[in-house]
Amino acid sequence: MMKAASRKIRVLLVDDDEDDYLIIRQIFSKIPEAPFSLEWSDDYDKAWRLIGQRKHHLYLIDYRLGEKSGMDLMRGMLPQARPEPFIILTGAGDRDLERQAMREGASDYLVKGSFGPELLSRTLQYAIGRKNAEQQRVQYLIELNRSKDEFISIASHQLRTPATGVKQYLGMVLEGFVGEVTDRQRDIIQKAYQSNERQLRIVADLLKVAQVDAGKIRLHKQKVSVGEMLGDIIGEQADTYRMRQQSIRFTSPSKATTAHIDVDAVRMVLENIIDNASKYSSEGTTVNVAVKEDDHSFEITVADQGVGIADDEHAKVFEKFSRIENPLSTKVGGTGLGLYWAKKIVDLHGGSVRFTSEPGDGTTFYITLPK
Amino acid sequence: MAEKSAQTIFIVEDDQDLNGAYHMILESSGYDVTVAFNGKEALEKLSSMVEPPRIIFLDLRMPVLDGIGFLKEYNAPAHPETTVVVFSNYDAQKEVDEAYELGASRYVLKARATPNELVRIVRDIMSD
Repeated sequence: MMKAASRKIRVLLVDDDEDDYLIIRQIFSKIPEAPFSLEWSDDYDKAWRLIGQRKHHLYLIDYRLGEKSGMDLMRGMLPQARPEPFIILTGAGDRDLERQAMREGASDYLVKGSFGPELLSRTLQYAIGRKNAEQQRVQYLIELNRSKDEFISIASHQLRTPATGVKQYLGMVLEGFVGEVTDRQRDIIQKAYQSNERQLRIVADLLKVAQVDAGKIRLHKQKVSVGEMLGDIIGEQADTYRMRQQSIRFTSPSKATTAHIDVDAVRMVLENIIDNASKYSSEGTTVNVAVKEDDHSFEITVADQGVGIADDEHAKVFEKFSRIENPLSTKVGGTGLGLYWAKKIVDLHGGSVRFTSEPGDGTTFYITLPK
Repeated sequence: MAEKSAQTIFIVEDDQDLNGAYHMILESSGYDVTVAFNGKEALEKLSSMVEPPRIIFLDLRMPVLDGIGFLKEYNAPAHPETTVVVFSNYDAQKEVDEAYELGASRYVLKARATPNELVRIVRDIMSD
């Protein structure tokens, strides 16, 4: 009885030994109802191409393929998060290899010479079944994540409306639209206004992050002079630094560094890091900003003489909603989203951001971006 | 203090408190202000106005008929004497672009504009 080829489970066997192939083909032919169709590739590169074409439901890969190994093939494909399972064919007595294969993502393994049609069929069916279940779980989590982002976005937009109302009404009092207020009244209303402004900033941060998480950011790159951009940012921060009795020094590059970047986004990244440098430092300290470049990229360093970051907090610095302890501040901190967003923006540019820090010894941030 | 102006400002905003705030801000600055709470109401009021408004502050997200829906019906290019300012708390670039294509000429993020800034925008437009 001929089954339509498309209803069979298509298996790709990758094995450079033809005898192996013939033996395995023989075993396949003994599986009742012939649910599988078998294709054979004897070479690493051809197999790579075939796998790329996604014509098969499952890959049976010999652990040794000439110079390369079946594991290399699997490793190469795994980052693509393929929905098709990989089953490694090992030789007898390769216990370590079997364990390693499973650890690295193989769905199962089969020992050559010690399986018949029943074990072969069962192993393949189970591998496919498990992969399907895994895929469904992954899809569910992806959907859950997306709906969480959507929720944050909707809630944030809705929170903006009443906060905007408060801003207008308190703003009217402060800006003189409804007559005189006493100094004490102005003081209190000012505090309410500032609290509300903070709320609006938090909402804006949440929306920025929701956007970047949803992959909705498109970078608008333009040519910019890095030195000029930094000069602007530092100029804008000058008052804040002066108020905190801190100084900020900028070593501008000897020759003008130009780069193609999303200026608005990168500015926000740098403003965030430079503002942090000040917030986490005491009075009388200095923050040093410098730029260096090579042929393909440039690096901005922001070095402060502040409180530094404790070792056990290093891992959390770029995490969402994580706020590093600031012993210098009694004020309520921000959302903990600034550096998370900053890192995403830098990553989107193909750059990197990292830092070095010792408690009591200050922190230096390194922002590298391609030119 | 601001001069009395015969020119009307039309505010289309669905949130009652915000609508009231913008009404107060502009009226106390000496302007004639009319309001509507959604796009459909806005179209109805506009059709019965003797003089067209000088400025329309148009919220984008409203029930019944939203900002974009309003613009499609209103046909801004047919009313060159009126400046349409898109007035939104949604940072959606696509919507703003669409509004511009339909004849809006400015964009204000409500959450960022203070009362004084609003008056400044009005003065700016009126002195054009």
